[in-house]
Amino acid sequence: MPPSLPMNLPRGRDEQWLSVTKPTATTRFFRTFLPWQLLRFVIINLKMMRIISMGHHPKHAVAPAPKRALDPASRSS
Amino acid sequence: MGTRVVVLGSGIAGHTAASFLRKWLPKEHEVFVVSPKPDYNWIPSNIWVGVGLLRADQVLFALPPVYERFGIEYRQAKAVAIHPEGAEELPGAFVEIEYTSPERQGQHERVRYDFLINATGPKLAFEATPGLGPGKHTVSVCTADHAVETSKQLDERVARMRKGERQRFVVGVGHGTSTCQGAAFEYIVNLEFELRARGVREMADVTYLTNEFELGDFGMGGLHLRQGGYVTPSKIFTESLFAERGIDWVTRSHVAKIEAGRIFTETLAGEEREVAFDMAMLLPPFRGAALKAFDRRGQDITSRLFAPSGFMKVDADYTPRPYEAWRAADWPRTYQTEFKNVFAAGIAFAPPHPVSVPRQSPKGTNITPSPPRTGMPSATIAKAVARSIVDMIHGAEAPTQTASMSEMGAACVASAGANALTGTAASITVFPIVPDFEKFPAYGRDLNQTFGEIGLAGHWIKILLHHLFLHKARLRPFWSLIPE
Repeated sequence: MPPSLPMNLPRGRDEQWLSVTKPTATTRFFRTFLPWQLLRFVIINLKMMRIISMGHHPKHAVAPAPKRALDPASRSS
Repeated sequence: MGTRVVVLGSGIAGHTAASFLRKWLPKEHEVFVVSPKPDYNWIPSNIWVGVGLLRADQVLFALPPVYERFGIEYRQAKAVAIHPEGAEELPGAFVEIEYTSPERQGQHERVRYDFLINATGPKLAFEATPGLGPGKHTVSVCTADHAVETSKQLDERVARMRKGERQRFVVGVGHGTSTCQGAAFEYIVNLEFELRARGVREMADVTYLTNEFELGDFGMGGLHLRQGGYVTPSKIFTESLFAERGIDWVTRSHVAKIEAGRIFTETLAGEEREVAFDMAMLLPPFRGAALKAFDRRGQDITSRLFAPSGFMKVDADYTPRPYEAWRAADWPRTYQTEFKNVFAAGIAFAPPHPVSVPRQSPKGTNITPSPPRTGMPSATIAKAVARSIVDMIHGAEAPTQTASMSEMGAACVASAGANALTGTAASITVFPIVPDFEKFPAYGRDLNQTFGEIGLAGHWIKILLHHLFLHKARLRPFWSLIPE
């Protein structure tokens, strides 16, 4: 079994490491906590099934392609 | 007389299309697959071959017996040229193939078709970067053979670390226009996990090298997730995941050339840098298969059917426009080409433009990830194309199915360490794959359907998917009930 994450690596050079969000011990615990992960397994599968069902087109009919909006300024980002 | 549908390629898209065509078409119609390799490779699991957790035969199986059992004609050959109008001496559309099987190596044949699906996937363009690729200075996980070689190199590096030699690992992409950052991400976190599992992590420097502007772009312009009361960009999560594992990262880089132990990069800011390594797994850019096209008189019409990248032009809007004018509607919906009986599916179709914001260095080097088109979208597109062809054979005048990447979602599970109790994976859903800023002005995607989390459950799903998709690809009982 792998040892815990290498949190003791030298950090002196790591402005990169210091400037980012990192998970708390609780968050890391729950990532492999079996009862919680069993529940997440069911929930993630349901979410994925929903996405899969949205990706398939049950109707055998081609909808017309949406017309191009000519005004690029209408884009918000 | 029956109709013949020829499918070029037997990867995720080609195999999906051929399987559903055979399932849906009456036996008098012929489904004919042409593919240069006789094995099916479940490519997503090559990551685990590359870190020595799976053998090649666990991600490969022989296609000919499967096709024979299922009534699909198969030729081990590569397509060389498409003649959509036939030739003066041979009326009717055909594709010229060159055999790659040992017994007929190099022989050519003209294969007539009524419908053609180009699912030739990518050509791995290692040659785009001097020194890149297996046999040169870096390794890859693009094929099962490459992954086996990568695993061997990893074993050698681990042996050196056990002798007290510090090793530098660089993982990422080997060109400014490479795609598949998701695979590089998976490999680096699995590598880091494996180094810990083998007890040598403290002897390794692990660095991610990418053409992405920020981590978490993945060639799809990044994504946003609702988490903890905020809408947070994927950059935050990816950086966090790397920092937590002690992985350094270098972004906005084009790999210009590679020599033994040295990677020479050019950054978006125009700086030239050097990254030292002992082992580097860098993914190449993709090009289309080198297919030609000719009209009835033998005139070369390759540029009519194919983009300069070698990918096939389909029903997308290829008009060059600045990023600000890109629209979701530019993306193809039916994958039909200008020839009504010729389609492209999977990676083989030419995208109208990248998804990520295009950027160039001061020297004019393009440092923009290409759009990903692998896995779930490839199979969904292939199934839609197969259904359209079946309906056209039954009398429909035009394709009946659409599968635009700007209208479909994707579910993705990226392994972050393979162990049944301590492993994790990032489970991600995104809708739509290509952002639609007209429908979803703020972020381009539906935040109710775009989701991500990391945990052991994701690893279990990844294992489940490995077995389910191999079961499906082997066309075993109830295969068609397994979604793409």
